[in-house]
Amino acid sequence: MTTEKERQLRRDFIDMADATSRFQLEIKRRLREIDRKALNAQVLVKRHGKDLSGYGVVAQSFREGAGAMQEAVDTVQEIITPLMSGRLDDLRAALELETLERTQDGMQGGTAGRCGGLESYHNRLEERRDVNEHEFREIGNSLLKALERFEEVVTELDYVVVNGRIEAALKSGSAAPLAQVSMDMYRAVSSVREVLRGYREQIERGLR
Amino acid sequence: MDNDILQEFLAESREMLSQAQADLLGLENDPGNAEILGSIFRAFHTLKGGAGFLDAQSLVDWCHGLEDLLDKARHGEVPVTSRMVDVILRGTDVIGSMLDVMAMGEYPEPGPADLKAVIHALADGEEGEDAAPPAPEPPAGRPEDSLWVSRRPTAQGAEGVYVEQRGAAAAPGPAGEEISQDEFERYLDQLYGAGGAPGVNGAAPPTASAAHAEPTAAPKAARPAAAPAPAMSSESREESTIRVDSSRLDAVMNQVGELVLLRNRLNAALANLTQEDENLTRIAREADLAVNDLQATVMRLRMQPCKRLFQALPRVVRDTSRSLGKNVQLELEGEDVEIDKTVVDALSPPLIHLVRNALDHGIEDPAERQKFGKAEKAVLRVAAVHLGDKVQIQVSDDGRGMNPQAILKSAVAKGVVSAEEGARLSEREMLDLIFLPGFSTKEAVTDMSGRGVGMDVVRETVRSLRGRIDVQTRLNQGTTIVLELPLTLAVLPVLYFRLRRETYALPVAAIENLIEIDPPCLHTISGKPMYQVGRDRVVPYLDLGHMLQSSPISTAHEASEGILTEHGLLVVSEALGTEDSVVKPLDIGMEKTWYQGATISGGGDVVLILDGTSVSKVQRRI
Amino acid sequence: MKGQRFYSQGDHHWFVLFDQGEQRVVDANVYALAVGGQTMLMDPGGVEIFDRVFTALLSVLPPSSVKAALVSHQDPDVASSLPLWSACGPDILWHVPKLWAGFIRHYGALEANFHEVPDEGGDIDFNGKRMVLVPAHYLHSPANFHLYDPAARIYFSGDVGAALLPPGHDAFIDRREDDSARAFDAHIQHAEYFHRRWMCSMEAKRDWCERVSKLDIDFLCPQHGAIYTGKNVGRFLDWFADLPVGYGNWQQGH
Repeated sequence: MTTEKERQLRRDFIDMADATSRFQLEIKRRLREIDRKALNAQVLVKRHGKDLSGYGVVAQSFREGAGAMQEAVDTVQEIITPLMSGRLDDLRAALELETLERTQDGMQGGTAGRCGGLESYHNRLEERRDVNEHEFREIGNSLLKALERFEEVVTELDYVVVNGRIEAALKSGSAAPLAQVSMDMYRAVSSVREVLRGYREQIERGLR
Repeated sequence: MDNDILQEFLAESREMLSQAQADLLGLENDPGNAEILGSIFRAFHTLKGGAGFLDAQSLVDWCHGLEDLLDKARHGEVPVTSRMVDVILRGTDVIGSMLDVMAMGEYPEPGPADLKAVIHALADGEEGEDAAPPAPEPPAGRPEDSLWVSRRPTAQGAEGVYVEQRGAAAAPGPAGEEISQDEFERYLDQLYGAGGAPGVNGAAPPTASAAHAEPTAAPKAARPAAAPAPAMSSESREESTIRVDSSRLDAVMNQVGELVLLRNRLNAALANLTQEDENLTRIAREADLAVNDLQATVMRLRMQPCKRLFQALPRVVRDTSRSLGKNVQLELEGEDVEIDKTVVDALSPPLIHLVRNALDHGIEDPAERQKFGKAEKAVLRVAAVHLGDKVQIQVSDDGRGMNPQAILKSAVAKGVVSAEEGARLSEREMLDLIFLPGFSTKEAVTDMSGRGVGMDVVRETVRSLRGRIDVQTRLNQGTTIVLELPLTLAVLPVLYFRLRRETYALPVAAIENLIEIDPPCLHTISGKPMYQVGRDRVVPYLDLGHMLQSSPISTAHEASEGILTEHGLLVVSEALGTEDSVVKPLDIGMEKTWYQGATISGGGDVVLILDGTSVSKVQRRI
Repeated sequence: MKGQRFYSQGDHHWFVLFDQGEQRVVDANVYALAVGGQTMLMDPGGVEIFDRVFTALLSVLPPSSVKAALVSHQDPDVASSLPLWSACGPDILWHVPKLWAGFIRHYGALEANFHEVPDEGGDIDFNGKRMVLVPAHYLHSPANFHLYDPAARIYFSGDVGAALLPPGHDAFIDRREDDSARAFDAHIQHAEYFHRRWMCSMEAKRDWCERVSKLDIDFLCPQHGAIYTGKNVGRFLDWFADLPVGYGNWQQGH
């Protein structure tokens, strides 16, 4: 029978997998949105020519920021894959261990002691789970680092966005759409920050 | 006659005339070609308008006769025969002679009565008795290439001599005079020559070329109040300005264009480098700035003040309002706003047309104005406004405004749209009907702004300059026509987008916004797909996958993104990025309607530049 | 392995997880149908590619959303991951052919929640959407079901239409020239031997072709190879109808 502890482990794993999935999907969607808004800012600047050329630098930084965020996502993604594989291997080992224990239970009555092969298989599986646990913590910590780096990238972009809002506020008249784009951008970046924070907390809980 | 305007008129008329003659020959081979017919018709119409403005009544009458004949041919009331072509050709020769007379500062005599009778007979659907021998032959054959010289005021108002190399085909007749290099030198000597008193005294025509015709500059130069420029010392002139053949300017412009493309490619190549090289990046950034500066400088070389564009207007307004019995005050604004020379050159006739339209159709006569409690004196305002990388030319009147319903009614009556189509139009779209070929709000054919040629030509001209035209009107308060034109035609900022595996470009000037496509916002209204933007705006949904790749972009099955333009929502796979591009003309027949040219992307690929307006037009037909 | 959405209408979506990248076992596609936040997997796959399928699924859908799965037949490439999925989602409802239910439990999921599909198949409800389990017995397994989604016009065809493609293949047969059969002709070479050898019965095949050609299908989705879309669906049905298969036939032309 599956122990309650094992069940909880699986639930935790699924929670983490769900959070990872949601994170990936949300980030993908929001990055596209940020990229689109950055492009919008560029189009606006091109349409208004010299008047808004100051804002051109901002628009360019938006796009570069979106690019930097994409790179940060890629790095996070590279770590997520082995983290998940590790957890899945552990799940597999747990299932094998369960089957094995059931088998050993079924062989009660002195025979178990004689089957040294099964005993050593049992030990190997437990060792494998220990290694998995250790690796999970290691990879999990590097994931946390990658997420922190990601947050730094977001902070940098946030700085650019605030600049953009100031720049837009300084220009009157033709800059009304710029103010809108800057505001949209600000919201998009803030929402990325929230998604990121939520995911980091989830991973931290998983590592505790 | 005002010499400046006369000279413009003569140069343009000769060009139009030679084009019309070439067209006529084309028409003989292809009598059913409506496009050629329309083009010839418009040529005579424009000629007539210009002649009317210069009070050359004989030329007006003559053109009117030809125009009438062509109008009937255009509407299929009389067949196009080679005899008709022959008669019209002879008619154009008469116009040529009249222009020659005008070039000498005189008013032409009425055209030959016998040929006129033949033209009328043809227009009435009769064969017409053969007339006297053709009117005088145009000047005999010219050398292959020749130097043309003419004297016109420069943008700054100084007197200038313009010299250009012209091929035999483009020879516009004696508006500029054909002379040899020696003669040219001598002519220059006479004008500004070493020691020779410049200006008034030196303006006598060179004897060697007297046999051909008077030099064009003669009538003006002979006037006592000759231009101030020659009064300046030749030295100071040389220091401050240098005259350059405009074709050389174009060459520089093209070369800068190539440089811009190279810059784009350099930047793209650098972005693809796996290892960043700080030094290289800095150099590229500096090169970037240098190219931008160079581009801006070269662009400025081609800029001319709108003053040149406006100079004909006071006269137009005075004469037209007088003949219509209206009391109008013209206000000009922004004469010093500068715009690309090509735009100034091309926009002059359309602007005159708009002004005449406003006088003719927009502004009421004093009695009517009084009835509505308006000041007796109407105000017609023509303004140039600099807006970022665009210039707006606004023509506003405080007249009766346009009534969309009346426009629709008139359009339906003229068969421009069917009643069914009309019923589906918004007020905005009804107003746009005035831009369709064959539309005119006034029933009577007048000398002023005639038979519905005009607004379509105005719009085409503006479009060919990558601009847009917009009508704002309020009943009894007036109408403003806004022409929005790019400051320069040299560089075109575009947005690259992906349509499945292909990349295309769209001028950013056309783009309002990029949006995510949300399927619930897509509706079908009267059988046409429409998209809801925001709370209360519904725009046409233009699926470029369907239009350019004959396979609709399915939001259910593939990536999609929307580019919101004033014409509707263009649906693409993905918007990629912006770039300053340089347009290369295309020559691909049918598809030309979809694209306004091609460019080389930073990646070095040839990318087609979509024409948003054409796309929305085609969609409307689907 | 990659995840790609290929149908989306409101909250009704289809995804394909393809190009598994593990070459020691036969390459297989897994399809995920999502309706209103619940997911159903078509042939969740073999135990050896479970990691890859799971991670690819992560990139398109949260794993906890998996509430049901179709096991079209008993093969290991179809069903051997069952205990692992079951461990992740103990409540998953498994639609399995009644004939194979007792066999499939041998993969190690005695407690899994089975819906045993009778031979005649029939409608099932998935989160409010009607799905049809279409019998495809002897193509190739003696008890075998496909799934048809009438609203999306998507037909999951299990081993029928399967092609053995090299790694790095696309999810679809090239759609650029739907009007020409060129892409189809190139693709079907990878499918021919498989169909001749694995499909057991000419009669079963004829019967299936007849029933399926009456359905409106935009996407025909096999468990191996690439998806047939547009005109390629009809091309496949015509091709399959003419193909000699099964005992006594499979060596014809070879």
